[in-house]
Amino acid sequence: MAHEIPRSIVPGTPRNIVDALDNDQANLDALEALMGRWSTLSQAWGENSGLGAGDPTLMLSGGSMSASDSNYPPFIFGVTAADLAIPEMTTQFRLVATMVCGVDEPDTTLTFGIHPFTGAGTTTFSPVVAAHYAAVAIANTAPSDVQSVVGAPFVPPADGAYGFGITVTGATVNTLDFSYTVELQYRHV
Amino acid sequence: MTFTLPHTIVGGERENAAHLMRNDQAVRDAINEAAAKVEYFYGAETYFDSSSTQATGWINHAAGAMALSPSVVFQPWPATMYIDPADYEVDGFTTKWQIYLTIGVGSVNPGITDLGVHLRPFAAMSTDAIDLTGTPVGSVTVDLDEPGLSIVTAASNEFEIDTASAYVLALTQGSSAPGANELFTLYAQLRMWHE
Repeated sequence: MAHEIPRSIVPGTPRNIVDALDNDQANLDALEALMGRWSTLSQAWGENSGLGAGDPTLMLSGGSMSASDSNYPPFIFGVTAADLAIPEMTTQFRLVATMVCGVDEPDTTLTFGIHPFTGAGTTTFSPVVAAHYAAVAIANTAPSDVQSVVGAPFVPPADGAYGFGITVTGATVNTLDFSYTVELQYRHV
Repeated sequence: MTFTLPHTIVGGERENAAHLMRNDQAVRDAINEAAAKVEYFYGAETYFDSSSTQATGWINHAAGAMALSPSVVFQPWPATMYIDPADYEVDGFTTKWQIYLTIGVGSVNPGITDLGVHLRPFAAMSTDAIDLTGTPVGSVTVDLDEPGLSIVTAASNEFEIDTASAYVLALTQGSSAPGANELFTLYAQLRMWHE
């Protein structure tokens, strides 16, 4: 019960008035619980095709996911905080990522995030600003591994366009088989 | 404010209390209706043509003509997701899930029956393939025996998810593989609501 309805029960208050006030609080509790569930705002997926160490690389819809690949659209979405705002409540975002890999593990740490996206370059979907939000990392992958991570809630970033991105600590060989899906979710608390 | 509750202030406490009670119920009814609204959770899409083989496998995100076999070497972009049902619970309500299919059939009737999509948990990879031995938590089956250029939709029964796990949207083989010039697209949406 995050919010409480102000009430003043004085001696002699009729029972039905007390009941009505209790009902108001119960309704508010139910409404808060409903607003507090996580909902999906956007999603992305990708597979390994050889990633350079330290590069925040945009996930692309189709083909490889190298930032130098201009043949496929990146997962771009807009954030407008006012569209999601509810009075007296705080909007939160989070990322949920799932990674599966084959018999050869990538032996790197995969960090997922959303990155400000300001435009496309001449032949690539760049620049992607290095700053990112809501990083969730998957490390210590093993052969035939499945890992899921749920990121901590964070405040929605500034209004604008964002793309799902991935950063690795060590370059990956493009013959390794691993793929992943990421969901951006929101709720109100 | 779009909606306002009817209320009447009169002299008697009994009448005012009755109004309060009715308003409380109206608010709860509105909350229940809002909770019951179906919302998107996850979507996956792919397409099939005459190069698609015929076996049970997972759905690939737009990976082209599918080889529907769990025995094939690991394929890109399987429709995997992590679901912890606790994250979507709402006190006083039951979370309901459903798989909803939208299939676009090309110009030739594929005449395929019993093509299924299901959601099942998985915890490990089997060599280079997703282990599809987990018990499905929900499924839907559809017949694609329609005139060409049609849209087929189908919804699974509502189901509940009790266990936190990685899940995958997967396919159950139909009566046959697509023949020559038989092309269809498939979009599977996992959605939920509360009641």
